[in-house]
Amino acid sequence: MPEAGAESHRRRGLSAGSHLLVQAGEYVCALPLRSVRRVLRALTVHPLPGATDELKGLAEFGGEPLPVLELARLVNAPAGGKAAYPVTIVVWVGPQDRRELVGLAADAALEVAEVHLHSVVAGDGGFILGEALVDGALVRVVNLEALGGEG
Amino acid sequence: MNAVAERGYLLVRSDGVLWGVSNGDVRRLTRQGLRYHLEVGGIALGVDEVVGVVPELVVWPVSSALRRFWPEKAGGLAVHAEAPLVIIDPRRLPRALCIEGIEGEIADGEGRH
Repeated sequence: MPEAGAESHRRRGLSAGSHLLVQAGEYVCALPLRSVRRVLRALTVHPLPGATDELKGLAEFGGEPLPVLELARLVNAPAGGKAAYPVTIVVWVGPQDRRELVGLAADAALEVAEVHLHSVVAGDGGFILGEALVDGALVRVVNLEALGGEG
Repeated sequence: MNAVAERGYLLVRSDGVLWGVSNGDVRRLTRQGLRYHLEVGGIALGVDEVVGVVPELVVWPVSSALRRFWPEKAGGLAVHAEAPLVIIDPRRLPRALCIEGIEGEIADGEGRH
C-alpha cells in the first residue's frame, strides 16, 4: 500500500527538494535545507541605527558578526501571536560563488518537508520564489539567493 | 584627554550600539557632561560611553546582505566579548553618531565636503 504525503517524504530521506518549514508571523515559509546551516534559539540581537524594518540588527555567531533579518518582514507576513520558541535560522544567502551567512529571525522551526520546485507558483520576483502546497497547507518558498545581492 | 595611542581600537557605545574606531583615527576625546565627544576625520561624534581600548580586532567586511538593509557606511564589523560591533570608517562617519548641527558637513563617500 503506497504511503501518503508527508510520511513517505520523511521515510525517503533528504533530497534537493527538502525544505525547512518555519513560522513567520501568519505565514509558513520554506527554506531550502541545503542553505540552512544552523537553527538556534533566538540569538541576542543588537539593533543598528537607521536600519530598515527588515533588519533586526547584529548578533554574534561562532565568534563572527551576523546580520539578523526578520523573516516575517521580508515576506510581508501579517503579524502572528507572540512566539513561544523564537529561533534564529542561520542560512547561506546570495549566489553560490558569493554566498554569505545571515540569520533569519522566525517564530518557530516546524519540520522538514519536500517542496517540489515545479509545483511552486506565483512568485513575486523578490524574496518569495512562490507558493506551494505541503500536505494541503500553503507555504511561501523563500528565495535565499535573492537576499544576498544588492537591492 | 588627548588622542589615544596609535595602535588598537577605541570601543564606544551609543544608544546601545557598540562601535570601534581605530586609535589612530581619533584626534581628541573629551567629556561633555554625561557624554563623550570624539573627533574623527575632523568631525565631532557624540557617544554615551567609552567602553575601553582593545589591542586588536578581527574585522570582517560589511556583507552585501547587510548593506542592502542598512544604508550607513562602515569600515567593517567585529566581535568583542561576544558582542558584535561596527567599525567606524573615518571617511564616512555614521550619521547616528554625528553631533547635531554638523551633519551637513559630513563628507561624501569620496571625502568631499
